[in-house]
Amino acid sequence: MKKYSDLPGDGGSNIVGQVTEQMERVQARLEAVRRIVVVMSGKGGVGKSAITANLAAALSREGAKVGALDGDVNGPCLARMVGAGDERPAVGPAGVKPLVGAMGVKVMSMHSWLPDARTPLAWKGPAQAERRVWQGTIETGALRQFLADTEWGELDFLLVDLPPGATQLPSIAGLLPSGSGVLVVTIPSSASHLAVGKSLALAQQIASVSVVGLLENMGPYECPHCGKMTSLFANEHGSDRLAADFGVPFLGSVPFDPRMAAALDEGTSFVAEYPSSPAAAAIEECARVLRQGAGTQTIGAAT
Amino acid sequence: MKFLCVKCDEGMRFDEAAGPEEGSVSIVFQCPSCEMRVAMLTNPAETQLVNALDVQIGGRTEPPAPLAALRENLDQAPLLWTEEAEARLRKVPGPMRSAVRTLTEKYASEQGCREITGQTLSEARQRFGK
Repeated sequence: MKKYSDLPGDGGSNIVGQVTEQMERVQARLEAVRRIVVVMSGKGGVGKSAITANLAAALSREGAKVGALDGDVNGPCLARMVGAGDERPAVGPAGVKPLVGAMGVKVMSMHSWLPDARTPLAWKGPAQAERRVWQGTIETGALRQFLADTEWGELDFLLVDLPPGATQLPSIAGLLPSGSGVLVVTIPSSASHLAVGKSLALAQQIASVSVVGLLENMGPYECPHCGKMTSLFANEHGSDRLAADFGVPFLGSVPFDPRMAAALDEGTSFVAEYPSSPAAAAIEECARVLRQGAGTQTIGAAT
Repeated sequence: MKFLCVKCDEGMRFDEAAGPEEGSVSIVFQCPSCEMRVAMLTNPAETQLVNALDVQIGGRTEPPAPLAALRENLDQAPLLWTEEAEARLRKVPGPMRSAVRTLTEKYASEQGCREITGQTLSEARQRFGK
């Protein structure tokens, strides 16, 4: 009796062919993007989206064309953070127009596809009781469509903000061109280091991506009254040492600044409003590393 | 997926797909030698999994529209405006623009539209007499 490999073709369903075409559409769309950087962490609440939004603004301030994809389809917040608000994208013949936020950052987020801010993401169809079977597939498909069908245009940077946890990285890495960068975010707590270490290990196992480095968020806090610097977390093993443990660059520590959260809530640019703040300086330094292309390979059309 | 006619030891060829109906898709294969036909019937979870892949069994005749699968599968997908419709709306005087947008979206929802085109705008205008 013949085996699967003995039968030529795919049997006629053309599923493999269509999946291949889907990937080709993603690759074609991203040809005009010079660098892609995935922002991730193994831990929730470390400020991935805040870092993504601020890096996008910092890169854009220096004249770069920047796009931001909100990869957290269940908890989307990037559109508001970059100042694109609650607008709806417009459909064109070649794709869907991304929203444009403050500093000219293009953004695509599931937030724009939900009826309102309070409605959670829900998928229709049969087999709701068996969501565990298909939900991951449909959500990864949503990210693929955002990549392939958004009219990103020519970009110097496309930042992809992933949801908490490391599980999405292999899925998104499979969609992105080889050589895309991964920037891992942590906070200076032992619990975060425990989770983020796993993310660093996973990122290093994926051959198609390159770890740009580890960035610490919510580092020292400067008292607005006396100016004393205090650590918000007690952790003897610093984030710089965690980076060294994994042999990745340490991209610095972004001090905690409540004005950053306020700016993100308003959709304004913290780095533009408070350029001389230590937090803005740390963000700018990280942006400088990205501009130099450290850890990433130049892809697509040169500008 | 591939189907083998065990009697003929030949790969069966895809013949047709039908559905989904009651959450099930029927996928028919036929042996090129003995012409025996076999139908694979999916359960709702399998149907939804294929749906989640954004593929059509047997292939597509044309590429999908932008974000078509996302908008089809979202429980409450918002109405989208085409560029043409947005451009026409921008020509409406400012004080009236919000009302025109609301009434047009109301009309489009009643008609079961997923996109608001220039044609939709014209029809809504006729309907509400604007």
